[in-house]
Amino acid sequence: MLGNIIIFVVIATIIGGAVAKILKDKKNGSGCASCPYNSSCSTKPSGPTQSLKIVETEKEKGQ
Amino acid sequence: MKIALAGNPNSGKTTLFNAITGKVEHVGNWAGVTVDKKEGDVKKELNKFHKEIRVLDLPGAYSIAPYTSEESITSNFVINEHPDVIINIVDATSLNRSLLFTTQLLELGIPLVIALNKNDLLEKKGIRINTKELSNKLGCSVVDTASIDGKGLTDLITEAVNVAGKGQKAPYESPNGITELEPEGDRERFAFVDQVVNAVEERKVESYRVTKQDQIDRIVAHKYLGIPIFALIIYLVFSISQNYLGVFLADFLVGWIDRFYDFVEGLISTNVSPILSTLLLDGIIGGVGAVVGFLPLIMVLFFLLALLEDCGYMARVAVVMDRYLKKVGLSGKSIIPMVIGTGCAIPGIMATRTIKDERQRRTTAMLTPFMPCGAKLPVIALFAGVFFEDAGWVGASMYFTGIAIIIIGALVIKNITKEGSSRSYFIMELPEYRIPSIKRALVSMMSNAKAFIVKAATIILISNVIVQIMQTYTWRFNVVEEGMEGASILSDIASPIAILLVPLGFGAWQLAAAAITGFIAKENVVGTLAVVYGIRNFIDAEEFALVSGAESVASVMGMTSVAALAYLVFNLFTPPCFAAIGAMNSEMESKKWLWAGIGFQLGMGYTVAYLVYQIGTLITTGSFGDAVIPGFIAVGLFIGFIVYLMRKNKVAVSDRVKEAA
Repeated sequence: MLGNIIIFVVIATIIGGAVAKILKDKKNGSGCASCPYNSSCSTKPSGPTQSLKIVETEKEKGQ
Repeated sequence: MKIALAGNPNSGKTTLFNAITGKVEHVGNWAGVTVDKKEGDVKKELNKFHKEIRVLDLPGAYSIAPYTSEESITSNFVINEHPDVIINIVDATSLNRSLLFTTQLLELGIPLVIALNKNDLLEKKGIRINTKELSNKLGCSVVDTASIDGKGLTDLITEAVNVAGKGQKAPYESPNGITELEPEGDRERFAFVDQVVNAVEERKVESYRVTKQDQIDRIVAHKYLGIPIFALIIYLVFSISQNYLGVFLADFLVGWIDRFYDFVEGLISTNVSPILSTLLLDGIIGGVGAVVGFLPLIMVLFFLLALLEDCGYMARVAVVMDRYLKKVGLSGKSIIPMVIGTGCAIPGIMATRTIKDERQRRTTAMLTPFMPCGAKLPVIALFAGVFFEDAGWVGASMYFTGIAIIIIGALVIKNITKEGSSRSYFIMELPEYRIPSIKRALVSMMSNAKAFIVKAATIILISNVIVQIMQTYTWRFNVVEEGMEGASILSDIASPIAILLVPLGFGAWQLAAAAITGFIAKENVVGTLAVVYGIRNFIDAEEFALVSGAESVASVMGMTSVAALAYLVFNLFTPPCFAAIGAMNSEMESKKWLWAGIGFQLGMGYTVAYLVYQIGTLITTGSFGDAVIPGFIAVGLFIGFIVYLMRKNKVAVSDRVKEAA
């Protein structure tokens, strides 16, 4: 009986630790827990971008 | 106090940021590695003032007027967030090109300090820069730095703190402002920069001289030789990581995991409930241990890829691939996310934001997950080791199959959505070849190893526990009796899906369950197989073999080698993990594209696995495999739907052309 309780506590601690880490990651970042890029992958850059204007070039004959 | 680091791509900003803050952000010897801003505090030993100094590493930009979306991060930040000081990282070896951006930054009125970086390369290149004169001409402080060696960092931070709050005068002011691209204004700005550079720089080396770098490029970036050289290098990378060094190191790790398993098993008395002991031993230690056993293989792979990136070779791969990708509607820029995706699909997908054309960006984000990422390596290593003698060719062939699928996929998407696509030109600044830094490769390897261990100890652990519980109980929460595993919750959920996989050669519910958990994280495929088949580890600690009792493991799984290859292909080329799908959603900015992408990945993975199994079985046995007709119908429907979409688009475009005429 005591053996069962000890094993149960060990399993619960391991799972609890894993869940706590996932929740902590989720709180700190904003994406998927345990992913090393979770803090930045949901960050979409905002603001307008500007199309590059191609400056016309004069072509010499034969070029 | 807030300091922003801004400069051209590949000027060494992130290396400088890491040296100043002690962080280990990913650096690469090519442009476009940083696509988001990173923050950190200045290290105590560099901070004489003992006050909090926050440093922000911004993505590289050539101009304040943003051309790509990651450039807009830099532009928006320096214009709207008003940092106290801007440290402008200038590549001393390319002064002329770098100073255009500098002159724009100076116009903002924010105190600016120039970090004249890569100073260590000046002598080698025969370049001399008069720093004092440069400072006088631009009206700001200039500090010599070499971020790789950490040279000049204390002076740089001290100078930045000293100029804070003092304002900034611009030596050149554009009549049109800095955020508009006007050809006339740009010409004047370039003329000013030329004048400054002529006054401060002396160059001995003429640009038309063919250097050793050019000679190497003529071979490795050659039109015909480039691809075979790339294939050989990738084969060597996979061979070293999966056949030699990786397995040698894994041998020790698996030995320790084994001993830990035995130790815990010895502690558990016979009176303990078998359900609890199985959950702890097989579900947690066995399941997680089976995945962690592959850690050394992954570390070696990341180490070698970091060396390739650092020496400048991967930038040449982009050039080699450009001519092929351009033909299928993508650009050479698309190869950069794909190469980054070899480590992890998520930063690879994020790197697509450097692509300006929306269709090309979305297509690249959709196709990048086809590259086998680090998380898929344990799956490749497991199946290569169990079913094939030489693991190296399997890994390399999966890499090139991924590239082939990307090219086919791009061609299909081009034909479905060709309207609105623009022709793109790939202009990339090739970084100098250099001896790769072992330190940087080790840092990159350890950073990825840490992420892998955290993933194994969280997501994979919990998945294994759930899988163990689901296969232990029936829906009425009775314990499944031995030999009645088909009555478990897991079996009931996976069996309907397993039926769909019969034409691919793996109709067992255990294999279907492993494939499903792979969508949470691809490493889960290995963990789940270990749990459902009760396999303790896949690497033999005594026989120096990748897989313990390869033949017995293969017989437990009940698959032929061809079916195993099809299963591997299915797991590699169906949709990636949920985290990567989240990144796809973020970068595509379209639910239609996202769902189309997931559907395409699912259909492509299924089709390729079907072809591998059925054709492979025909070659090896002389007849087709199981359920060839139902599979043919399923694959036919997928291909038919794709063809329908392509024809529909063709007709629509043709109608519009007629109307316009």
